[in-house]
Amino acid sequence: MGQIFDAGEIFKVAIEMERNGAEFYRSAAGQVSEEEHRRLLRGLAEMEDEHEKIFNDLSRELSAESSDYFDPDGYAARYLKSIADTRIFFEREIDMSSMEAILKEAIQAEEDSIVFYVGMKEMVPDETGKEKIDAIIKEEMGHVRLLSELLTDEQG
Amino acid sequence: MGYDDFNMEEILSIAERIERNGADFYREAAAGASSDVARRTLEELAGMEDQHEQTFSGMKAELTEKERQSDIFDMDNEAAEYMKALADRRVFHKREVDMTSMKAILTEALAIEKDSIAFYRGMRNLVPSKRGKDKVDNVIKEEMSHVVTITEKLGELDE
Repeated sequence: MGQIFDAGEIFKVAIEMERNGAEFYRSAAGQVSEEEHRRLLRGLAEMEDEHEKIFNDLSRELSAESSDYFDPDGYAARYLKSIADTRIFFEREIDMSSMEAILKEAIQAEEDSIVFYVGMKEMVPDETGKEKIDAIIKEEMGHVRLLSELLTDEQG
Repeated sequence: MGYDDFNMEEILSIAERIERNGADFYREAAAGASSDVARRTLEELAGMEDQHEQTFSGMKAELTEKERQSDIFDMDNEAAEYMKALADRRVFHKREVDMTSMKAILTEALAIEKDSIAFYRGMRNLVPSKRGKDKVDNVIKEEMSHVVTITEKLGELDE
């Protein structure tokens, strides 16, 4: 596989994941009836906006030195392409009929982001870039935690 | 599901179980596979999961008494809750899969591999030694290569 999936495209996917996430949280916030849930979903949307900005900046900073991407055998790129492709394969109707359904969808989406960013981190050449991606991974892990807690309450 | 003590030993036991579930799944799928190529691929994946299970068993055996006992909620509350959430959601809930369809099998396989990567990424934060982190990283890398293999097979089915 050649350079079918280059660094620019990888960042594009990451940015799109964050944008989709933010949109999902905003539209979910519009559906729920409890004020507390609405506030929480809006808060999550704002964090995804932040991540989108970080990826935008990182992509600009790194494009100047794109030859430094560390992926000698195209391995990380193949992995990232797999994850990106399968998200498209399985594009499906998102269930927003209840808070429980929303939370399940959200947890899955957060997990997908983590799995993608773990691969991305492999490709980013410098320590600062890796640290930024790690910080985002950590925040998404925080979202999984928070959403799972709410799901347990909801199912309780 | 409650964890009275969620310590490193418990986490590694969950990791072993993730691998064992994965290997069982791949073997069951291999037994029903309609082509030799599919059977071989699935058996190879099962074999690699067996090795990962051994890696985690080895790590468990190497834990010091202190590491074995210490409650990881005290070490890193966030990582602990994250992993507990993932384990509750997936590891202990078997999904229904149509084992007669290669597409259904590969789709499930992909979900299993992604779940493992997400869990091990949290685990990596908790493993104390550099050597332990490297071992977890290696398993993550191999699961990443499984994702690539599985996606390529899925793509071939669509052709």
